[in-house]
Amino acid sequence: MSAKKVALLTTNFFHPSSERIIMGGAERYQVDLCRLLKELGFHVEVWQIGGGWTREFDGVAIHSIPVTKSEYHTFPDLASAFYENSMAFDYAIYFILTLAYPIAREKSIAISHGVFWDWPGFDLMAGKPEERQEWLRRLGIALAGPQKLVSVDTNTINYFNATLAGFYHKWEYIPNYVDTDLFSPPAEEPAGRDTVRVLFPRRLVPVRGINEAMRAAEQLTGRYPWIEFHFCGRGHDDNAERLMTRWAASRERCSYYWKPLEMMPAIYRQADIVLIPSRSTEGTSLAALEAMACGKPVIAGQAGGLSDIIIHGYNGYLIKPTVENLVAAIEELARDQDKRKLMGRRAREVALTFDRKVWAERWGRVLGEVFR
Amino acid sequence: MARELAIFVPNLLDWDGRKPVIGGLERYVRALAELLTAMGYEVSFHQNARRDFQTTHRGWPVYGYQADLQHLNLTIERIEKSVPGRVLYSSILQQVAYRPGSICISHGVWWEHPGFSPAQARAYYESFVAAALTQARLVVSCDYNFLNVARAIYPNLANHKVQVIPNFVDRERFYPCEKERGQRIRVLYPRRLVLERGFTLLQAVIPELLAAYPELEFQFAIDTNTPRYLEAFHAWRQGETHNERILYCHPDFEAMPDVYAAADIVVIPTIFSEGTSFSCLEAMAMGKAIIATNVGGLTNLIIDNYNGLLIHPTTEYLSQALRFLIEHPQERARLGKNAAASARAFDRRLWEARWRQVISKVYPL
Repeated sequence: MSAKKVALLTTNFFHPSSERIIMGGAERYQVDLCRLLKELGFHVEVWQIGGGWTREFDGVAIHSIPVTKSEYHTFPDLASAFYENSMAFDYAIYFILTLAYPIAREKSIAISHGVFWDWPGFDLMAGKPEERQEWLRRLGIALAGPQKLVSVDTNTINYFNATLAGFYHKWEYIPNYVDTDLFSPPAEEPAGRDTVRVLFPRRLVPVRGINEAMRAAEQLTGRYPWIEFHFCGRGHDDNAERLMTRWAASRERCSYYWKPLEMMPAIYRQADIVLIPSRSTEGTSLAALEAMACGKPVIAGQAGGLSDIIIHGYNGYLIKPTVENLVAAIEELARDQDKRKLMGRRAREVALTFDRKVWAERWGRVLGEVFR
Repeated sequence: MARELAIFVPNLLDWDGRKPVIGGLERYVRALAELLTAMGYEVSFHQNARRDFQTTHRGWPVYGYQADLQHLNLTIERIEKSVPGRVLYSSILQQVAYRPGSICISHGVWWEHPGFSPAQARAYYESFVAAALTQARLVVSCDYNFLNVARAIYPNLANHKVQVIPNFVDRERFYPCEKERGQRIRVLYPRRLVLERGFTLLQAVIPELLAAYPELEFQFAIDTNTPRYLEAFHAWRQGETHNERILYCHPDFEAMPDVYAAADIVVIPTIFSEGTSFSCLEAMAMGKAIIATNVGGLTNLIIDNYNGLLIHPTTEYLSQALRFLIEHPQERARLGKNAAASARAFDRRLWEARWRQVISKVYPL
């Protein structure tokens, strides 16, 4: 018997018109999901927006569909073309929830990576009440098609149950994951360092709290000669990265760089405190889970799925990420090594329950139910 | 500034003004009134009633205002007109008009009824949530879930107005203690007999489990608030084959630590309308193995397979989780230990300290 075939629809794994690829959280998730499907004996191919080319990544064919139209964060032309193109496939995965609008394959699963419409800027796109209603109406159609809806956090499920309650029975909570062998605490304490290192391991974008983190860094490095800040992540363009480099160069004990994924465990291990001060648009952040798996206390924003993985005052902090609150939380942890150690130890314990193997088992169960 | 602070509450006492009502909101408001009194405020309560009444409860004046269930809006309008001065609104779903400079409390998203249409859901958040966010100075939320749901609907407003203060547990009264060794494994349901608390979900899995595990028993620590729910409970229990292993009791709050102590597993099978449940927090503080659903604020307390099991509210998942814990005593012990450790983060003193700050800011003396 030949392998059953799964078609996965996404928007931009590759940049539509170049080979540029930034392996962010979503891209890594997609690669890992495709690997899991192959391990489970499925044949998988991917479709996305692009000029009609086909490429390969990690042994998976990626086709592109030449469409540009996007309304209300939905891509009706892309979804319709995918529906036609994937007819020879047995099952489908909508890698982004809104891609299941207006039409979805019968045996399919759609994934939500977290609420992204809680950002004040979303009002620019759908600010008027009637636009909001249209957006919600389309989501209602997107939720209706697939057999199962997988969410990386409980917040998304609770949001939809509070707005589009009819789909409560379709949801499955499969939180994000971390490879806890790769991301592990330092074997021994780094000896003889007398500074406290604070790490910001995210993209340099406002929703991730970059501006507040920079202001906090200015205040705290000015106040304490033994605190240092490391910002490690890409900007959305060259200019953002250039500005950040210039800013860091002009400050004492502030560094800016970015590293490939394989170097990130070492980056986390060298940190004492990790900042995930997201203001919105957040699921169960991979970066937060990785920091936790490395045994580091995390200071996180109160957004999306972060409250699924952090209990305030137990294995980290959940704060409204204002400069004032960030400064206070960092100060408290920076001055108290015992507390950092205790929270870091608990963070590691909690992270173990988000191990990648657990994620694979949970997905295996859902795939087994729908793809049969 | 005046020291008087009026608290509006649906029913601190029953509608005759005699008996305290058993429920999370009522306990919350009592704890808050104790704190306010200690801070020097003169607290009064204003609530719904069968007929107008005036009484005292633990030294606080309680005023009842005639109400009928179909027209509660008329009663809150009358309360609003009758009470001068500063007001604290203890429940976001009691009113849609707020005085400037007031605090309103959200005890969690409550309108996510599985049968609601989008329009019905919308009517709830567009009236109650929008009113509180636009008019009150501050909405204190007992969980992050309400904040995040509200922010996904009203990004700017919710961000500015909502402050999270998770619920608390009194760890001087709820602490881990060894269960007396017995032959039986006891599963405790410490909730009210209402639809949203998931009683029916548990009901559905009990027959197969009692048949499969002769050493298993269920204990229902339930309220007597609603006679017809209680009658339905007894009718069901009577009809069950193994009903000698379906126990029940009606403990008052003082007796709860002993009720938890005698259990091995505590089930919080909420279907909707949940905050950072007191029952869940108390079971955590007692070091019990907990099964909770991924609904509302429970997701802020339980991390699946770390300090409890967090499941989707279906009979299939509930049955599977119960079987797992029944068969794995060491896992029960591990989860219970982590539950007790994480309950420290919800100590009543921390809750009081957070509320003190908020109160001093909004209602300065």
